[in-house]
Amino acid sequence: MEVTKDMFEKVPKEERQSLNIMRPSETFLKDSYRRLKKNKLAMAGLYFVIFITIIAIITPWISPYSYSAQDFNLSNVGPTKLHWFGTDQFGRDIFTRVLYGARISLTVGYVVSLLNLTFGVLYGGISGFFGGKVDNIMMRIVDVLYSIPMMIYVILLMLILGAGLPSILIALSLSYWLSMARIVRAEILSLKEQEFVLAAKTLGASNWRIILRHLIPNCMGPIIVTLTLSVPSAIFTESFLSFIGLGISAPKASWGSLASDAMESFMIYPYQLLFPSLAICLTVLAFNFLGDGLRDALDPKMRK
Amino acid sequence: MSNYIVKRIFASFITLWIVVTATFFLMHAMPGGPFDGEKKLPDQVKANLETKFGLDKPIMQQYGLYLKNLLKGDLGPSIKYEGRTVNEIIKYSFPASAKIGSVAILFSLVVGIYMGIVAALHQGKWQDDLCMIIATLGVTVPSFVLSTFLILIFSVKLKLLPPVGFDGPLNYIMPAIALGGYSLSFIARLTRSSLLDVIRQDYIRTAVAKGLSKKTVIFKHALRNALIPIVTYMGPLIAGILTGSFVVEKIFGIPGLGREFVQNITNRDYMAIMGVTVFYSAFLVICNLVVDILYAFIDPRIKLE
Repeated sequence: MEVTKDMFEKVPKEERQSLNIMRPSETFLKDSYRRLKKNKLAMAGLYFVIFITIIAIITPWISPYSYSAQDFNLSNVGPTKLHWFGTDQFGRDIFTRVLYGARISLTVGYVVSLLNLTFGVLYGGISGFFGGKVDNIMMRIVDVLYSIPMMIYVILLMLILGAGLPSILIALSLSYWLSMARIVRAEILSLKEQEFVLAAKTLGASNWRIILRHLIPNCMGPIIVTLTLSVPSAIFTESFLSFIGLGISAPKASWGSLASDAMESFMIYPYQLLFPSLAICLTVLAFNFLGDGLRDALDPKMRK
Repeated sequence: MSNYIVKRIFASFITLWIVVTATFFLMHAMPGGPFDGEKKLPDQVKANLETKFGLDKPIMQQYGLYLKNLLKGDLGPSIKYEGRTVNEIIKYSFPASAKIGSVAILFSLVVGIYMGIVAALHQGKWQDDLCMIIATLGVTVPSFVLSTFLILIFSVKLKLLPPVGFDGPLNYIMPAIALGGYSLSFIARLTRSSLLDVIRQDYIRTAVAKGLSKKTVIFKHALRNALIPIVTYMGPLIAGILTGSFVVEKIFGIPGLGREFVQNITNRDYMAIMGVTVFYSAFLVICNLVVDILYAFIDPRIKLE
């Protein structure tokens, strides 16, 4: 049979166009954000986190009272129109102190998480990438540190460094990078066998370039989730330390130290304990919702 | 298997040695000696005290002495309480902590696993939501906040439970809830996700297809495998209860080691802090060792490297 030209039919225009990629391809982060937006709890968490962070930053300019000024005519006043959360035993406005507490508690949460991120990711990345003996030694060190009760070592470090914000930051950063290192290592161990790493190697990329530009960006999902969830745990630990008298001391305030100060008279003035506790709980809750939501959005494989 | 156990025991000893060494040198790196309190001691008295506790010797010699005494099980004297040794402090106060701690562990395991099963079996229904809301709240409320609100509600308002003290079984209820709350939430989530994983496996389908009742399938087939991750959580669970005891024992007035430890910190009783730290670490290292060995027996699938 002879094939002639008129046996062919022209493809209609619409059909031809359907082969073109009309929209720009979505980046990983955009795609994840789209999935995150569907999760109402996580978005509520995200908005709350942004809200409380902004409040903490602008507090010195908006708060009508000073966080440290004492007024004994006004001691232990319950919540009123003038003092929304009431006043403490020295007549300091609790609303203002809770806002200032947000500054310190959130600073602890963010700074500790960022330091853990840097150290944990590098440690885990190196350990996972080089494997073999390096990995063995580095992971044994992590195992040993992991089996030590961290809180006790944070307490010992605090005793050496003395109470105060810088000591808390150092002590917590020295202790809490372990889980990040483990997670990153596990991710990299499986990633480094994939073809794109082989391709990068073939092209002559250096080890550092492969780790920093190829491997770590590919485990961003678990890293962001761990990061989000480590903020509340740092806030928790700080409040715990303040509670046993090793954290922030008056007149400065963190949420933990405010709660701890209110403990002495909580049976008579429960509102003094209620507001700082509420601040801790809501913030931790928001970070947890956001972290869970991010886990589902960034890494659909992990969803259960 | 025995090779694995020997290896684990060896590793535990190394860990313990590192812990002891780190603690010793950390304590000696602390600014100011143990006798630089608010009261300034006369130089002669201070020198005498330092001789008495061996603090005038070179640090390596002190370290050697400390290790030697430790091998005999001697944690040294308390510096602030005349005539009390650290061993005595632990002997008198640890039983109370152990009692409260085991009740809290039992509470968080039983209730946590139960909540996890209920949530998994009713996935997506209101029971699931309820259990997960409780579990989420459990990880967001710090133990000292939970303790105080329990006291406010059950002791002050309802007058049902005694707020402080350590006399009868009623005194165990609130501290156990406050101590176990965080772990309970964790265990409930862990059980739920692990059970959901297991009930999608083929052998569960086989069991259902054989016509077994739902109860038999869940309790005899699914739960056995679903609870394996819980065993691995035992180590962190015990550590969490132990650190939780620092605040909970203080709030409820329980004469335990946690309260004693916080007291030692406030007093800056260096020998006692060091001794209790070493004791806690040894306790946890042994717990972890037992859990690891148990785990290897329970789940033969794990690779015994």
